Amino acid sequence: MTDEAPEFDLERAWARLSLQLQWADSFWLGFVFVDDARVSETLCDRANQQLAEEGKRLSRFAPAKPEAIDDLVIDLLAGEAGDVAWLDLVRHDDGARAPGWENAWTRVLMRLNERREALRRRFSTGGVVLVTTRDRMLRTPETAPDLWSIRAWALWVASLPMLESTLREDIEIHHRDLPREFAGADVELSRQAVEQARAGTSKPRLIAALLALAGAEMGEGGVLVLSEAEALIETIDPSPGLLRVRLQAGRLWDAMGDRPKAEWSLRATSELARKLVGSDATARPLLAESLHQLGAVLAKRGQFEDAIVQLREALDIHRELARMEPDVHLSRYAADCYNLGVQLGHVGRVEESVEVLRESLDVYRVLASRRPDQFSGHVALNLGTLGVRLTRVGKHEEALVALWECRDMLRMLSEAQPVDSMLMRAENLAVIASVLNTVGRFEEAIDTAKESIELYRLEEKRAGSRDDVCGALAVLGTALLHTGEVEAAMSALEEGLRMALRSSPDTSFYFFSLMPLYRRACAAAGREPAEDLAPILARLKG
Amino acid sequence: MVDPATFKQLKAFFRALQDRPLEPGDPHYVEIFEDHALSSIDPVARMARTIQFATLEPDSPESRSASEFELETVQLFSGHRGTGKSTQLRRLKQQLERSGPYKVVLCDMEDYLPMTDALDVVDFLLAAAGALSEALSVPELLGSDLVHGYWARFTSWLQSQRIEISDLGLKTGEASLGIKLNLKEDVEFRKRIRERMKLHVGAFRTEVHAFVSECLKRLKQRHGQDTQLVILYDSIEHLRGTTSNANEVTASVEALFRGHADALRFPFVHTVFTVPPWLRLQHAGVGERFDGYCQIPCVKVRERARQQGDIVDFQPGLDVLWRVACKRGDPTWLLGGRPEFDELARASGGYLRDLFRMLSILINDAGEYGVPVSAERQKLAVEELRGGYVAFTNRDAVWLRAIECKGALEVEEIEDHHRLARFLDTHILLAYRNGEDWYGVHPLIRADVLRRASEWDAAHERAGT
Repeated sequence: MTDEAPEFDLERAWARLSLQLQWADSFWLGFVFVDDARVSETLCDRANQQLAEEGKRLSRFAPAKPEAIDDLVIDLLAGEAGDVAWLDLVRHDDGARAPGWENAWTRVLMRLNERREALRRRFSTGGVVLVTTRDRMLRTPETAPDLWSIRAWALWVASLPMLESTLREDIEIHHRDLPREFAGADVELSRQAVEQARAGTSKPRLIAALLALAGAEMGEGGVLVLSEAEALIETIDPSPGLLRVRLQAGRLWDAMGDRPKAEWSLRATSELARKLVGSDATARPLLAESLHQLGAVLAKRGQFEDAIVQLREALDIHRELARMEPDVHLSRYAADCYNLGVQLGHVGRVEESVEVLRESLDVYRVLASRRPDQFSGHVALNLGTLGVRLTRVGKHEEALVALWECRDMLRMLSEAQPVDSMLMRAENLAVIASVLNTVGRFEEAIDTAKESIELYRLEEKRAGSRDDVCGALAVLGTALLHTGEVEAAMSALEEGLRMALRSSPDTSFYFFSLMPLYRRACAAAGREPAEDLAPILARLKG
Repeated sequence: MVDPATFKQLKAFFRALQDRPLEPGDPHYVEIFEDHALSSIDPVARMARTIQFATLEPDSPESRSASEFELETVQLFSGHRGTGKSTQLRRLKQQLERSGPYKVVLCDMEDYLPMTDALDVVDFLLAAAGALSEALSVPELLGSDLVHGYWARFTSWLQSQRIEISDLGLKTGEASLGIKLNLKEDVEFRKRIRERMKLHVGAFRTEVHAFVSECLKRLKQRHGQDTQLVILYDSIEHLRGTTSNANEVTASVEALFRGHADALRFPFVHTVFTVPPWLRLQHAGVGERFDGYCQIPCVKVRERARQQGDIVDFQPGLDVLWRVACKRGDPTWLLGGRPEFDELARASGGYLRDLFRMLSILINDAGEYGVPVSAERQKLAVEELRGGYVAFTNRDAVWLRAIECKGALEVEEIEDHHRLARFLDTHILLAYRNGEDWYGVHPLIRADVLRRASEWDAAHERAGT
């Protein structure tokens, strides 16, 4: 069963649902298939708000355990004419450890299916929304043909980005941060080299000296020097040597933060490389390298589709080169593959992204087995990114396996470099907790989120205040809300909100993630917001 | 956003398309079977005639061609979900009540029986009697004449058979209340009933028949001696198993209608049972034990393809769907014209609920983009609907292709019965009538079926199997 249903994003799904709530005047029934529990919650919250404004009622049914499903059906059938019942079963099974959600969905469908007319009578001017994970769609028509046949709609909704988490999944692995040739270059010596070259007649030598000085100086002085070098490069006839310095210039522009110039320079480099490849085989690795660098710059400029084209070509070349000379090209092959995976994710081609990230992980595992000191960190990063992407395609269990392996590797790395890996560990744990929330394993999410927060706090002591902890607090608050620990949830969310407010303006992202959760917590606790938060919450509501 | 007048009109159209069974007098109602080009048989007229013939004077020449020796009739009525069975049963009720001394009750068996568990004749008769007593308890029929209804009578009957109420897990004082609830909800209760009554099945059948006769007598006392009782048992076709008990449930439904046809024939009463569309297919003899079998097909929007790719419109079908849509709103205004509507009608395969779903999606879109909705939006609506029909494997596709080509359901393996029931239940297969009944794959997935079947063929060719 391969053909997928068309996918809605959250806003399109809401548009469909909102109009249904607004217009329908007799019984209706809708299905939502989504892997992300937050989508269901968001749609439910919005529906609740819209109905409340019309003086109507929404009842949400979200069982904490599969066994609770039978009682839930009885409660659901106690609804009244104009009510809307929201049955949330976006809960993923965990194989042998917590089986039963799939069965619970089947059971509830069967029971409601044979009570279709009872539902129609009970909710005569209202409706019922049945929400579960996407993998259960295929069996749903067969399990509940009577409900399915009268559905007003069935929506397949995409997951949300991991808003609560702070994993930097877009970290790219560059072949080198700075052109190796310039690493540690001495400014004074570089200047002397430039002076000597100016005194001579060799343009290539002057270009090389200028590039060295630009790399050593960086900053404003570096820009001037690099501009001079670029101008000279234009006057030189094409050759593999020229190709190398062109590539250096492009990477220096990038390192200096001038992305338009970097793009221009690297495009020129790759064009030159293409011309040379036909006549000189040594230009082929340089073509791949220039495409890799160009792809990275384009991605930084937000031109993801174009970046993907460049990275894919670079990958194809490096894959082939790695087959012939693995010792030289394997790491480049892995980096191209990983970065392509990251960019594919940025443009929503998540399934392709997953495939490519799996490939890069395989290569990094080979590299790490040979040089664990150098590549174990790459494996961990790759696992973390792959885990997030797997969640987006609904493969939560596989995601958790990857994320847990990432966690274990980071723990191991932290023994050697406790300080450097602390932040990554905190981020990884926040993501794991978020995925656990998504699959409804709230107790585990609480423990994991607490561990993440602890690490963030240690990092805060070491390197100053960080707002990233807000994401982990949001995850913790969500899990606590689900387990009914409302007071603890409020406390976590208040801490997150205060921290987000202190760190403004660029942390509004966290604030707006935390705010609806906090409102829900207040409603669940039957309490007003804390005094210091109430004014801003009221203002934002207005 | 659109202007308020357009918004209002869209809202009215949207509401008119909402799913609900129609009464024959409803302003949205269109009599599909009055068009003989569309169907040579009006199922309601046929069922009504069977009942009327059986109640005419024996020397009537007309009656001799029907159930000459029968004082009661039992008919089976089938059709896909959403083809309007419930509406047609309401029409039958109305037609009979207008034409003579018929008191017609409609019993929704879904309220009394579990729909995903194997059925036993005892459960079924108990539910049928209970449902009848509740249906008759309305003031215009018997009101409180039945005193305690069947549930109370049943407890007395159990005692007369020396079956302890407590053996069924019921408390004496609450027995009559608990039976209905437990019959539907409690699998253990049903097991206990079957176990305790296995030696009393014949007696229980007699008891239920006696009860139904008692009901008829009281009706005659109250409404005149000519009164005829017609019981329409609806929703029985919803019986189906799950993946774990599908064959068991299927077998139990077959056993009921094949093995207990006599028990279902209530003396002097006319009954209609709705049955799953696959029932008749599985045992051709099923229809012969009853006085009639009618099936409601989908509205035929195309002629049966004689060869692959040979799709020809059936204009009367498209016309009737147009009339149905026009009763609900203005499809020209929404879509731009009749050709656009016909595209949707073809995509629906003549299945009204799918047509309405597509129109609702487009009304929703029109709320944002205005009318008429663009061709692109119309394509997206079709695509959205198609998403609900992807639940079949490449192997299934080969099987579906064969049905699409032959137009007939040929089930070779017993295991395929469940598959057939599943595809009929979920409208992957649609039934049509063309003088004879024929079947086709839903047009939304016809191309997918052919493609995936070819992929299966190719894979097996490569594997040399």
